[in-house]
Amino acid sequence: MIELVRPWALLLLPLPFLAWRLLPAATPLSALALPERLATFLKTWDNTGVGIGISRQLPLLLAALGWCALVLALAAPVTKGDPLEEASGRDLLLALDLSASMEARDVELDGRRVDRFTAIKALAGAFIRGREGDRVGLIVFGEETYLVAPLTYDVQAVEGFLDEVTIGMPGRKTAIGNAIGLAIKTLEAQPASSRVLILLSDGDSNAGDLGPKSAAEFARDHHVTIHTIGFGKVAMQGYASETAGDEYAGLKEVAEITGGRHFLARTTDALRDVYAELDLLEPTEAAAGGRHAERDWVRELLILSLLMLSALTVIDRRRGRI
Amino acid sequence: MPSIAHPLWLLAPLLALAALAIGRRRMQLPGAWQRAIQDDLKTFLAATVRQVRAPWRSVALVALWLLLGAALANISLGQIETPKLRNLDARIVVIDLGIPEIAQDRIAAARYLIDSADDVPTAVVAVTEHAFDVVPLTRDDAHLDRYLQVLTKDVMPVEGRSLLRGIERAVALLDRAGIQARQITVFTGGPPPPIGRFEMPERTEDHNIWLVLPEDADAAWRALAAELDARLISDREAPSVHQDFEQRRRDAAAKAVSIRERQDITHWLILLLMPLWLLLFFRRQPE
Repeated sequence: MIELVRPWALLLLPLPFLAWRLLPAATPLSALALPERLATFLKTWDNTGVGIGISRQLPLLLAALGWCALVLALAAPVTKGDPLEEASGRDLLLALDLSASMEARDVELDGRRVDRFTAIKALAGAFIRGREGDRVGLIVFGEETYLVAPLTYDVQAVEGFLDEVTIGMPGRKTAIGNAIGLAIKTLEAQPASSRVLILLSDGDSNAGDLGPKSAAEFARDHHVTIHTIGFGKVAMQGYASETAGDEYAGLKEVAEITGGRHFLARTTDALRDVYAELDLLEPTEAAAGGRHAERDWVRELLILSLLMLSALTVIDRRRGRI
Repeated sequence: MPSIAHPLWLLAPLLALAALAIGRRRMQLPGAWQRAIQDDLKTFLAATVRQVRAPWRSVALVALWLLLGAALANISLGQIETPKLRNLDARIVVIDLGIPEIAQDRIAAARYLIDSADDVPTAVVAVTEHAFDVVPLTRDDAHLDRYLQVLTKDVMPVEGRSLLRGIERAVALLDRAGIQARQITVFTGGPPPPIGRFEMPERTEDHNIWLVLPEDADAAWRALAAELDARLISDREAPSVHQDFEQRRRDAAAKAVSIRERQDITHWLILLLMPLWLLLFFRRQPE
């Protein structure tokens, strides 16, 4: 659909008519003294509207057409194309713990008892889907750390990659420091106005070369905010040693150092609330868009004016007026 | 900082010289009164001929030419940055792993293309009988390179060869993201596969598909390219793929900035032009 940027310009369309009526008349173009008979004959021929009549009106028509093109160019018609989606400028990495303790079937999801990772997958998937406008990436960690999905606006693809990861893939222990290290490296490689890591784990770090505290200090120096989520019941059978003592103290410290928030979610409902709160903490800006690709027709209209001006120049020259 | 988007238009007044030359030639044609009347009769017949040149009109025409040229040149007082958009541009690299003998060579060619242009949102699709997203649309060149280094034909869960599946997958990725400036580069080779039973993607010409072969194409490949509305090139010509995409990116970026946001002075120049143009509507005195 065509839209005018300055519709008021159309009010200028009748100006040539007013100029024609109100401006003082110019000097006649020719004043060749002709024998009376010849002059009468030429006048009669002119009045028939044939030949001379058309050529007399032609400059006026060309000038009028050129004027219309100019007025329309000032009005600036534009046609809108496909919608353009604005980016928030935020890079957000989600780091998920895939260590063996995630196998514990101690959480409920929609009335069913499931393992921790199944619950995390379901809720993280919904969270990722809602991050339209952010560039999102996915890290999984255990003993090793992998960047499964690089930073991308294609949140659907990240969700797809999340579906494919399995528990134990990166080893059975938890190397939180290494995960933070990889996140810093990934986030630093791209320009962004805001860099956020959401780290979800069910226990404290028990592997890796880099301690979580050192990694967090490194993250703070690189302007990466880390929100941490401690998920699942502590001291459950088989995995008690990983979370014994001050529960999730390491995660809490990481969040504090980087200016992020630490959340504790013992149930899937609590985790759902945490994601909702994270949405508030790091709001998406996609809804503020409304921008469309735009094609303006100003140049085409100016070229039309230029063509009219060329024709007028030729005619004026031909008639000896310039 | 002022900038001129189309500086060549500043030369538009040269067209006026051409117009003057054409007009002058027409003055010499039979029918011009100077030619119709013998020289010795001119003092008698054209005794009262007045000089009819209108200097104000010449000045107005010169000013109109200059201003129209400047308006068409699109002069801006400042540069507007293209807003940060997530669906402005993207390219999909489709790698045909259907022929084991040339699979590694095609991966290497794809890596070369990706390395030659930084900061381009790129996704990689690997295709045999089925197509798989290897890397989603990303600007993370290091990640792309890492994945292409470890990609082999052995990672594909199924064998076979269907280029169209790969193209369909690439089109789906671009459509899903609503990408404006797009390119699909298919690294393939060997004998061309049959189009087969798959549906052709709609409006294939809009998707800007390039088939990149290790060597010059034969007639069979040319026929397939024509069917796909794809351009066919060899590895040697691969830089043209990048040039084409850069042009599309520039065009898309220009369309992303609304005319309301631009700092060009075109509309001021048009407003200056208008009173001069009105001079062209002077009436002649009644005879």
